[in-house]
Amino acid sequence: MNRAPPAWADLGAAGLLGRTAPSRRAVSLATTLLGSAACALDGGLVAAGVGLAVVLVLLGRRLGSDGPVAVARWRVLNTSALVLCVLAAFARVPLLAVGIGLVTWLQVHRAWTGRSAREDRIALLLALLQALLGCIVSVSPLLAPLFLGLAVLAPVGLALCHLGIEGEGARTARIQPGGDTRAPTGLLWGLGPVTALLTVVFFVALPRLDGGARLAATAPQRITGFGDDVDIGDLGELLSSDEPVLRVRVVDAQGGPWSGPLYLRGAALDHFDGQRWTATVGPGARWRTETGGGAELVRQEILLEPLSENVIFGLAEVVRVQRAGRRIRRDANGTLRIEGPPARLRYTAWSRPPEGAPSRLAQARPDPQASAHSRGEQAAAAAGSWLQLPADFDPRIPALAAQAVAELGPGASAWDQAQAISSFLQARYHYSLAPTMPADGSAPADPLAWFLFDSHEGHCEYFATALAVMLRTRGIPARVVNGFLGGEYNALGDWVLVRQRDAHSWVELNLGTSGWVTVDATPAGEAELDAASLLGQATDWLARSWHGAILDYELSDQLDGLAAIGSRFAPTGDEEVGGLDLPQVGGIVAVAVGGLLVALLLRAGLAWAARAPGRPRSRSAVDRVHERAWRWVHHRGWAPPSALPPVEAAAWVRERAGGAAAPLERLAWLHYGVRYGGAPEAAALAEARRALRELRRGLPRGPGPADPLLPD
Amino acid sequence: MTGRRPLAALEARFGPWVRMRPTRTGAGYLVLLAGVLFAAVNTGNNLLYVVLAGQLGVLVLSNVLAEVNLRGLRLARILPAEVFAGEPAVGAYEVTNLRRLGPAVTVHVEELDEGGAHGLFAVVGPGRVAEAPARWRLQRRGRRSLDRVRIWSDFPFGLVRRSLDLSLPVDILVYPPPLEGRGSRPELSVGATREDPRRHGREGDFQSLRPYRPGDPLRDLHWRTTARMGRPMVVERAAAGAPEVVVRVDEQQGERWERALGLAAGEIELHVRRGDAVGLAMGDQVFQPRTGEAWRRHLLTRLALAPERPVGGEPADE
Repeated sequence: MNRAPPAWADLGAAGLLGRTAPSRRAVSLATTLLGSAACALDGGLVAAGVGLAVVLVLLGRRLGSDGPVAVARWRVLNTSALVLCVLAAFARVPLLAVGIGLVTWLQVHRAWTGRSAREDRIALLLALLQALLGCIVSVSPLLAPLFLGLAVLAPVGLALCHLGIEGEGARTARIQPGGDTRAPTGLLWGLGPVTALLTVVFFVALPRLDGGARLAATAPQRITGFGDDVDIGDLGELLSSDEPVLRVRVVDAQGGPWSGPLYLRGAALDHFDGQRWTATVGPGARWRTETGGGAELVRQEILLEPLSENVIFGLAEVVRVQRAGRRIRRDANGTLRIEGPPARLRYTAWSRPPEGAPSRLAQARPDPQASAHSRGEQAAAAAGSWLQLPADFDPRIPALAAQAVAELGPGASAWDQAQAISSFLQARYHYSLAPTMPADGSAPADPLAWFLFDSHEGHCEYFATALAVMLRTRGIPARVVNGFLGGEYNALGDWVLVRQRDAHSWVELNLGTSGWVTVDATPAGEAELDAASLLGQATDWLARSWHGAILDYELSDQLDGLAAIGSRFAPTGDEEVGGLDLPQVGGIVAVAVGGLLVALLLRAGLAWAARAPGRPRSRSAVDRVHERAWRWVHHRGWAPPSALPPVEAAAWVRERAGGAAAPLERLAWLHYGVRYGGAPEAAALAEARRALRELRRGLPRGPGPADPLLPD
Repeated sequence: MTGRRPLAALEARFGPWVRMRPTRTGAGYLVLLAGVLFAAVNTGNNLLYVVLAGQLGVLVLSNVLAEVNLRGLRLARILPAEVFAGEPAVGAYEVTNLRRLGPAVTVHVEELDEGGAHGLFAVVGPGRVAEAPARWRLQRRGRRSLDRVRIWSDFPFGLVRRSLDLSLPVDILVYPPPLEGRGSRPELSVGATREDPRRHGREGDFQSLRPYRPGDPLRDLHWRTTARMGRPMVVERAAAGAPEVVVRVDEQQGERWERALGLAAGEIELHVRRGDAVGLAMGDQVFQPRTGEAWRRHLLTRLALAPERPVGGEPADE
């Protein structure tokens, strides 16, 4: 078609592409700041360097230029920075720190010299790289809002950069864009929330390859100082540390919240040399958890921070552990350790109730052989590991023990004796985290004797040592246990937060078939749960949610999610298909079908949106035959004037082509009759098809259309 | 349709084939995504999975929006009324966004066969029509065909370029480029002769209506036609004593023949502008002098359709 070219109007469409520049630069700067913040979360020198870089970026945005002098100067600076990074790498500076430094330097460079949309896009991609490095060096919950901000802003920034690049390219190529002058603001700003939603979907759906408790990262892990020995020789003040150790949710055997004292058993120690308690029974054998007897067990869901010792904590006696992800060893002291390097662990433990009724316990007799679960325990029992006393033992201690149980009379049970000694200690000794030192400032040669006969004050390790040693002098097998007692209850998350300062020591004594029973000689007041402040609860809840939802999300969570979905559709049962339970298989099928439905709906929606409104209603079958006839007529070279209606056009063809074109006229009248006359379509359709066949057989070739290019 | 179309049958059934390729930035993005995927799977670091999920989200969104961006568009060329070989022909592309929802953003239109035109549409809202200026430059005179047009876009993120080749066949008549003779006076060059010049007048018989050209007196404007056409139109009248010119094109070969046609076109343009009656003698064809815009186009058409005369060969059929 030939029409006069349009008048060259204003620069509206080009102006549109250029007007996105302020938004683009603002989003680019915002993503730069978010990426830099992610890198700085690990603290230290890196954070300081990133902070300085942020200041330079902000200055560069205001003061920088992209003139040739500035570019040349920055070339020198960039080369120097690269050389510095190489030297730092050779000097064994951590590569991640070098990488962060280099990427941050590039951001500073862009801020000072970049003005174009391409430069803004590079800055945005560098911000994403910074976020990537940040998530390698840190696992802080503060990454959550930073990632959310990036997920929302980065797609918008990329789209704005694309518009800017198109505008700059058009200017360079001297192309005048056409189209609207208003930017699709809704579309652009809607990219962010949609991307954030897709991020969540992909994060949940991307399959994780191994099950078990997920280690958080290769980031340097914070190791709390829980140790598996007790040294009462060190009389220095025991510092109270607020560092979280674990979070635990306890459900009793009836399914309700746990109401008893929360003694989370860690490592048990059997050998006392007068100064220190240690475990001499060896690492133990691989432990197989019990599989039956679930009704009376207490369930604990524990998220354990990385510790220097990989000890499994739980209420005594832990009989089953699930989702720990690695093999567990159990030594003769009943200490459970998980193999492998220290890591954050998420697991579920089941424990038998720690105590029976006092009357039953009072009748039990010590017999470590009877309560042994393994050969190691039997060997330790035979060797008298839990009756061992130090070589240079203060002879006053047995007398003190006898004094404590004197009121019980001869033949008192082990349990009663333990209660009597415990009460004796609680009544006569005081709890102190900083017990009195000898006057000359030196450490006492026998700290236990110093505690019992001189200072009369000490912390839980002294009370536990005193009780255990006094029980052993009475011939009752006993051992000291390190663990945690109490914590802070978080009502928001319904768990108890246990901190380092909740570390505690107590004693287990053997009561034969009743097993090892907990006795705590430390004066009361330690066992109640603290009530954390609302802010503290919220902070801990956020941290725990961050760990649970993001850091520790694993294959087993995905399978549990699938099982939860599938249990609505699939029958429950113990059958397995390909290693998966029936509900899990049902969940996979449900998710697959749901995904397919969503994809089909999306496809249909896009197809609907892509179709023009106001399309004519579907034509009748006779109309379609009529159109096919005219296509044949044109193909044979007959082109009546376009202004003629169908019947007149058919007559025009018949005048020139003769009787062979008569079926075309019949078709035209059939088309009229069905479309406007309400004639029944079925009969007309048969006649129309017959007419078309005649036309195809008989219509001769026409002269063809006139050459439109040649003048008349 | 011109060129190789191995997928023609599939395209006839399912519609045009949308091609996809990553841009440079997109290739780098994919490399980064592959690296993050590898690192996430090997380390099991869920934060890397977060980054990976975000990248996949961006990629999926990019593909969906890019796919929708090129659908539901109707494309047309707006070619100028007259096209001269070797000279830029300023026209436009017209895009109609037939969609109910969603604008078409940063859509490029390129001529694939010849002409080298390129149009850019910044934003075309749903249900709207937009025009983007474009220049064609066709090197050879005569009957030319434009067929394939490519529309492409890097929207939304510049990571993936999607393109769609469409067939918009149109035949164009390209006139020879109007060349000027040597010197300031339009002297006759080889092959063109000017005879009996006469002039246009103002009081003579009505001859034709033509578009206004700068320099035309305003009182020659025909207001009724102007209102109807939407652009200024003037009356062209014959005048007594208007000069008559017959441009004669001697038969040449090769480039000399093309140059002779160009000079003839130049002479025709010059004299029509002056209001002369112009005729043409080319080989055994003689067109008697007449005036008017339509006659000018007729003569130019004859020049455009003159058979080629390769050196040492037989003239090609018209």
